[in-house]
Amino acid sequence: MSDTTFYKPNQLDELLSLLEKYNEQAVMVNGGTDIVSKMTEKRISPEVIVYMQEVNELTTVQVSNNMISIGGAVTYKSVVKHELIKQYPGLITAIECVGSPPIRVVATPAGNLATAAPAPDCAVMLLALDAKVRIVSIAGERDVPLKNFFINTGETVLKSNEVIKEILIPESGESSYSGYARLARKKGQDIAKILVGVAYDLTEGKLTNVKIALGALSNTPIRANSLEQEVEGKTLPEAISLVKKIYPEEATRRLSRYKLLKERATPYIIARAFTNSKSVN
Amino acid sequence: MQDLGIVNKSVKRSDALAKTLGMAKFTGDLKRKDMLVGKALFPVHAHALIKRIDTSKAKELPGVEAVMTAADIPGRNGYGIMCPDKPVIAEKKVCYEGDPVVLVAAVDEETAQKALSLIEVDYEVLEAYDDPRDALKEGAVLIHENHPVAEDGNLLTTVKVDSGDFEKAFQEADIIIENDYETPIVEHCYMEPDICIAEYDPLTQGLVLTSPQQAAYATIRSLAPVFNLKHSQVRAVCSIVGGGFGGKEDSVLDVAAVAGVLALKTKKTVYFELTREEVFKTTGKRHPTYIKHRLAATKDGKITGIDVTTILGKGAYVSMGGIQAPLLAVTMRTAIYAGGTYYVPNARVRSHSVFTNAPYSCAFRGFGAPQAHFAIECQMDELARKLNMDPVELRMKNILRDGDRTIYGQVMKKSRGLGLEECVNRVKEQMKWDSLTFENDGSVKRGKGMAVFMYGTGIPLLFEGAHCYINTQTDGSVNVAVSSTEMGQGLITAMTQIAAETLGVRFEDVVISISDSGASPDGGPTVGSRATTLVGNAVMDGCNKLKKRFLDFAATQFNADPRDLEIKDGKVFVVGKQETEVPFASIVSKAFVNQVPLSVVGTWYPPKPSFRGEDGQGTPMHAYTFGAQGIVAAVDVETGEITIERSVIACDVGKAINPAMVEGQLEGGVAQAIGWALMEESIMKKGIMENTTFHKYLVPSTKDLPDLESIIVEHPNELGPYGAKGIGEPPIIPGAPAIRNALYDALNIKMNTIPFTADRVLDSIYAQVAGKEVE
Repeated sequence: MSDTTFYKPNQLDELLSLLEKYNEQAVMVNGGTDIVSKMTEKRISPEVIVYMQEVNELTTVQVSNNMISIGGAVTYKSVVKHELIKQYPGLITAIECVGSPPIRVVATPAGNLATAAPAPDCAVMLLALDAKVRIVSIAGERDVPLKNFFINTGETVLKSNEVIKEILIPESGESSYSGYARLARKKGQDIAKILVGVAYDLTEGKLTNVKIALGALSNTPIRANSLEQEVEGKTLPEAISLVKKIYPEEATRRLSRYKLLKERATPYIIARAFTNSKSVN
Repeated sequence: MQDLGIVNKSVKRSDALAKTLGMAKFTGDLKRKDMLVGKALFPVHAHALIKRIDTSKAKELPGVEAVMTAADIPGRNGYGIMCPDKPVIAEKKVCYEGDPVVLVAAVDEETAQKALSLIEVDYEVLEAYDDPRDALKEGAVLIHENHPVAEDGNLLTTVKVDSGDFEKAFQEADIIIENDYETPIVEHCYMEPDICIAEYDPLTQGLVLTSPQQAAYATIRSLAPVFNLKHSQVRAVCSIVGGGFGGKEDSVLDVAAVAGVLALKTKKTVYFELTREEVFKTTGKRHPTYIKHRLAATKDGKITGIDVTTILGKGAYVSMGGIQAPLLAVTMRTAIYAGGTYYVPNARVRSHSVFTNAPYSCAFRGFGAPQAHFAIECQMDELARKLNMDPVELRMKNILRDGDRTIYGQVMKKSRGLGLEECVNRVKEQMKWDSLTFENDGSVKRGKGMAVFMYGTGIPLLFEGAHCYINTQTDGSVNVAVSSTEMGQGLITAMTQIAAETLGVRFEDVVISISDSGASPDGGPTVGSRATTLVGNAVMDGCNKLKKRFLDFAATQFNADPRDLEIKDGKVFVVGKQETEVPFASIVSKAFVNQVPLSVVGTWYPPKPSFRGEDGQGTPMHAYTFGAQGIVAAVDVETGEITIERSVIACDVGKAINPAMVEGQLEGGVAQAIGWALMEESIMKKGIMENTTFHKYLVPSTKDLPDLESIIVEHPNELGPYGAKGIGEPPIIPGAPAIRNALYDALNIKMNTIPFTADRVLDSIYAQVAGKEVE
């Protein structure tokens, strides 16, 4: 086995210089929950590992300019217990579905985005919350809306010298609701077969600004725009009974032994995400 | 029964602290840098002829110390717990993914792995069978051309049970219930992967095999001929075991054979450990079954007959499948339990074990009984529906009582403990069964289900002797050596309790040494829920012999009759005269200088068992454990998701040596049954296993379980230590049918194939809806 050099920068500029220097040679490790299994199975054998979880600038959750910012190295456990996150009940539900408590102590939302797995609980809910990703490299920062972030399974717009600095979520209003639901093969420690995040505002009893995000129904998390339009302006009970009847056209029903299950159950899981939706109040 | 001191108390497990602190040493913790690392090249096809093997490049690789093919085996190239039909290294063909083709030993894992990649093998692929029913068809390719014991082609063995006149029973029946049931291939999923450290011993020219296993002496008997060694030259040692569930009775042979031949070849110590993927692909599994069950009954709910045909998927080798009568093992259990816990006067039962190209099916918690009970317990619920009778009432009407005969002719004896009725009543009471009804909650429907079972303690007819070695030290402490295994079930603690109680010493004065053929005589395998009962009896026997010996000697010191003396809590005294009390240690040390031997071999055998090949009649078991389980299940008809909301199990264990550990067994068995019923299944495609990770092979997490409610019922077994019967395996038996019956109640749909995955549940619901539309 060739030797692996392990870097543990504490400052963002240090991290960015390392990425600039090693570029594609380097493998970024955040929580490490995906990378370590790839290494044990010898699917990758990196020459350079850059461990980013101790970079000071990336470890906070804060609010600025009406956006909640989750730093690139903040763990799930820190996110769910943060006061600012209480305004997104759907996000808390989604994160509590990820792996197991030991996984959530080290794994991160930013890592969940960068890995670009097809069934990521947190990413699906963030997509419904209209989050964007602030990407940084030595050349500067750029913002990418999450809906434009994923290219394919395992592939994102991130370049090899770039890192997710923070995830930005619009602050919730008084009447903002969010909800999350999933269908897995068992209740704990399973990667779900259907993932649904919904977010909307309730205006005079009607759903507005509806966002529905789906996971495991395409190569990347997707928004179900057609369904969002159908539901816009309906009451919650109307929306729930409506979505039960529609298999969203954006879901491409990937070929797998669960295809039929997905076809049958997806509308009901979408309905369940609406049923589960709550506001901060 | 006399007053008990330490037996029947929930004392803390002796191994709890060391395990909790991570200080207890498992076999993998014994790895040293100077050991060679062994690796096996497994085939890429499940059924194929080997046309060419080229190992030349691997042999030239620096750091490689041995490359072995079949021709290099020092002795017999075959082993197996019942029949030596499994090759250490495949010679002409491979019969499943787990047949090694080449073995390598190298200085480290990376070199060994590299050597494997340099080996070239050409195969001629043969038709591979996943389903035993296909392997039985006319013209099917033979998996073994010349199998030493196979009955006919791919059919390994048939077990028959015939009693009464089943044809007449079916002609005269008011009601006949007929269904097909299927149960899957299941992996044991023990946490500790299979591993062996084989050390060449230059003094004996033999081998020391250190490996997690469940049967030290069976390992020796099975493998000594492979090594061309005498049994006495092979020492089987086992540290504590990270779970076995029956699997490590066989899989130890796979790893110990490989490590052993490599150690003999190199005259060095070889470390051989399977990866998790290799554990999935190569080690034994639960026998999958395809059961056609016909049940005849009168209109007032008395069972009059059964007609049952079971096809078992044997996988590639015999393992614990059974050979000729009476050595019929798992296949026999599927036959004798085909009528469940009921009095069935007329029966025709056939169980056929059939070779396939799946991993060999072996012992797995329940030993065939769970599969058989799944069928009969589902049948009973359908009969109850047809009769419009409560399913529990129907069961009570038919259960075996004192003096009743089973379908295989064994007479039930109250003196051995018949606690089924109490188990059922306790579960009913705790669940308020008679008044338990459910409100439907949107798309979620709820139902209740019950199942009952019986399970014979031990594995009579195979190897049932139990022996131990007990040595008293001059300070009054005691060593008990058993060859049985501590695999999490609590053997060490239970044996300590039995020894302390019987001899009259304190719990902390007893040390148990385990699983070392060099230190103890054969206790038999730690399987079949037998260790506490059978080895416990051997420990009692030894302790009673020692006690008599020390009391006889003490009598000379006390100037009293030995029958007036007692040993208790490490003190010897004249009964009723506290002032005579002396420490046990002082009697032992005086005995020692007075030429009284301080050690003894304890022995126990159950009454000689019988089982006749022609008609399956006999008395195979000495005692049975009974139990009942009630389930409340919720199913979401929109998504197919199942939630087990409640589980109450009651088991008649004869006497709980340690009630907390018995509860542990009940909870573990129930959890494993929930996995079996809802999610576990090894998926095979032409002999290639498709799910070899814990992402794809699912086991329940704590979130998949309700609070597990356990009730211990005690109807003593006159032949068990302090009345005990076996409890390791039984609690897995009733879960799957109880869940199925609860789903039947909830949905009014009978599902006869496990596991009940969401897609399978939705298929059944959609089929029901479609059926209604047709009407």
